[in-house]
Amino acid sequence: MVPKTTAIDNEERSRGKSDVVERERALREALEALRGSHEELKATQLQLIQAAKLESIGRLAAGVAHEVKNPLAIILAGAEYLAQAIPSPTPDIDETLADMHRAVQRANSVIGGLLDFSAATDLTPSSEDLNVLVEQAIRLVKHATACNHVAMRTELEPDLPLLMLDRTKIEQIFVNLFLNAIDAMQQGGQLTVRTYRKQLREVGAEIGYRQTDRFQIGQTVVMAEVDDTGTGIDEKDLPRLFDPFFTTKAPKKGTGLGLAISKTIIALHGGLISLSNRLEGGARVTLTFRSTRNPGEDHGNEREKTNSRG
Amino acid sequence: METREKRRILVVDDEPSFTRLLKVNLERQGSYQIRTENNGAHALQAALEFRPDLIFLDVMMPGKDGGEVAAEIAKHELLNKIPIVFLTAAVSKKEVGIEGRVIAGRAFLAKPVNMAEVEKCIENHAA
Repeated sequence: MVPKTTAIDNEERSRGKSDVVERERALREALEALRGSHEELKATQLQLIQAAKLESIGRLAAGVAHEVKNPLAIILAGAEYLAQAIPSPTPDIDETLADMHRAVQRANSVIGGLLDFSAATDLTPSSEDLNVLVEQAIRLVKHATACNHVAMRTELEPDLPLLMLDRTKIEQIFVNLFLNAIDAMQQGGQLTVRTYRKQLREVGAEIGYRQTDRFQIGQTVVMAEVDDTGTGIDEKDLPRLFDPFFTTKAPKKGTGLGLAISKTIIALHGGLISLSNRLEGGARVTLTFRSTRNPGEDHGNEREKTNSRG
Repeated sequence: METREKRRILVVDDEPSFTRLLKVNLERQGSYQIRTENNGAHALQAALEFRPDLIFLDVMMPGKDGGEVAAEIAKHELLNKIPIVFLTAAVSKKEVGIEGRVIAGRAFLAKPVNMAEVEKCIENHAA
């Protein structure tokens, strides 16, 4: 027979043990929650840094634009004066004056890019069919694709839900993405643009179950992908691609603002943009747009479908 | 021989090099008489003396800016009919187009401009 005290000891010990297990489980959960909050905090901090960076560049842009465009106006007026004042210019003089004109236009277009960047906050959204905007952007780069021996392929899903989009700005983004893709295919290649609707099922950057996630699991979104068959992106450059003034293009070929502006505009639409290398070679830009129906409605529709089946 | 009177244009801008070049370039064409003013505070007086057919007015100037000058001119009974075009680096060509555009009742032309754009603008707006 087991002595009474030992039985109590055993009971207490086993209760103590289960307490420990319980506390350990609670601790592990707390640690997990803490780790989650820490990750969230880190992500928010990064977003804040990025937002502050963008805001200061936006503020800078207007000031720089004014300070640079005034001297440009003087150079342009000066070049025009010389063109008239020199009685019989040699070909060298003509070429120099033409170079000055081109330089002014180039500097002005960089400034234009900066202003676009700071003006990216003014959206005029209306109900749009993404495919129509994509097709319009394709028309605008037709010449560039032909000149660079790039074949354009489209895989556009018909009857996509209408999206609230700023037509001009979204077209501008697609034109910019197409031109980037064409630039990446110096020897020619194939540019594929694809649209489709999708229900989000996997957790990803800014896609999840948390309130702070831009997209929620279960939500129906409209996707657009722009694939090229170019050289792809150097892995070390991937994290910096959306930074203002970062460019992998040759000098004079890019301002380094295209993708930064695109990201700002897409973010203002509540969407996502990402860039990755394709396994088959070349790069892929992925755009995620929110459908005008909210996530709650999506779940509701899913339930309705299930109920009608049941 | 028909002698058409030259159009009188007042250019108000705090950049002396710009106003000087605009003056020589436009006067070379033969159909314009230009007066320049580099101080916004003196613009009203210059307009009263010169009585231009059109005023090109910079926006961002130290002291009295273009907005204040325009308001002063608009209030003056002898000057309030003179069209004003803001020739400024504060707007972009994308916003106002190559030949300029009227925004909220004000005409704008974006710097840098070439002479063809300036002349077209004068034809469109001058009294």
